[in-house]
Amino acid sequence: MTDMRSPRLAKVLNESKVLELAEKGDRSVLPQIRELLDKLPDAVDDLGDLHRVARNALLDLSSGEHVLLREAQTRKLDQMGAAISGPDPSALERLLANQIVLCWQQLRLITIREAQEREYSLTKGDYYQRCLDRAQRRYLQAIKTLAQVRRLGVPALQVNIAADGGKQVNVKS
Amino acid sequence: MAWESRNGVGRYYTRSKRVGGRVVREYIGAGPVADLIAAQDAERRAEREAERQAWNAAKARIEDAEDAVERFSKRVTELTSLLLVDAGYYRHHRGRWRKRRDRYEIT
Repeated sequence: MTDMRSPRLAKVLNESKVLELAEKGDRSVLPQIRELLDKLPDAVDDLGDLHRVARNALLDLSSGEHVLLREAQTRKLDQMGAAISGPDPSALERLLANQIVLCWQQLRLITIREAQEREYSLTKGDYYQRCLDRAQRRYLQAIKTLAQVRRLGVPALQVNIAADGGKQVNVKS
Repeated sequence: MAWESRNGVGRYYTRSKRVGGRVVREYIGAGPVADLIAAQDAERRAEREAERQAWNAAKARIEDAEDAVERFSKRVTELTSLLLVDAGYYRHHRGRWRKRRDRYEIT
């Protein structure tokens, strides 16, 4: 699969040491953090691309070329995203809600795939179990992060996120 | 699975199998019955190969989707951290986010 990592986002987030120090409470890196945040509109725009790629990969896995099934799945994911985001969500809450939906869909698909296996073997069972473990960990972590962000109060952010078909959607918090 | 002859004479269908860690040849037979059994074996081998290829393709699709979800999740996590740090929060030993009491402004 093509690596869809955007150069713009990679540039912004390559400062992982800065982020690590910042998370530990090192205030000396705050100016660099501010500089990174100035580049956020690009970063969030790229996150929109990554979200689209991940969602399409999951839809390919669940529906393949079946147009009706794909449309139904797409609507289901949209409905879930809206329900988790809640009314008037911040940009960050929307991103986290999208993450939860993708993780849920991945977890569900792996479970279904495993149940549908005709020739089950220890090797396949082990493979699915490891996939499920990773998917579940990611899913629970995403839920926990959204809960924390809501508990702490979401930092203000206004960005433009590219929607499907390249249409720009203004998001504000 | 193979056809063998003895001293250049005959045509016998045999199978290899493992017995007690050693590979041994099992004589199956000759003639039309052996032809039939050989054809069935070939069919089973083809089925197994098709299943193996289908399994590999299924795994590749699952892993592609997982990679994409993982990349997105990683970026969202990093972005969340950046925003929380900027808002004056920190993580104690990578645990819960806590509010810094005496946040000061950088000018």
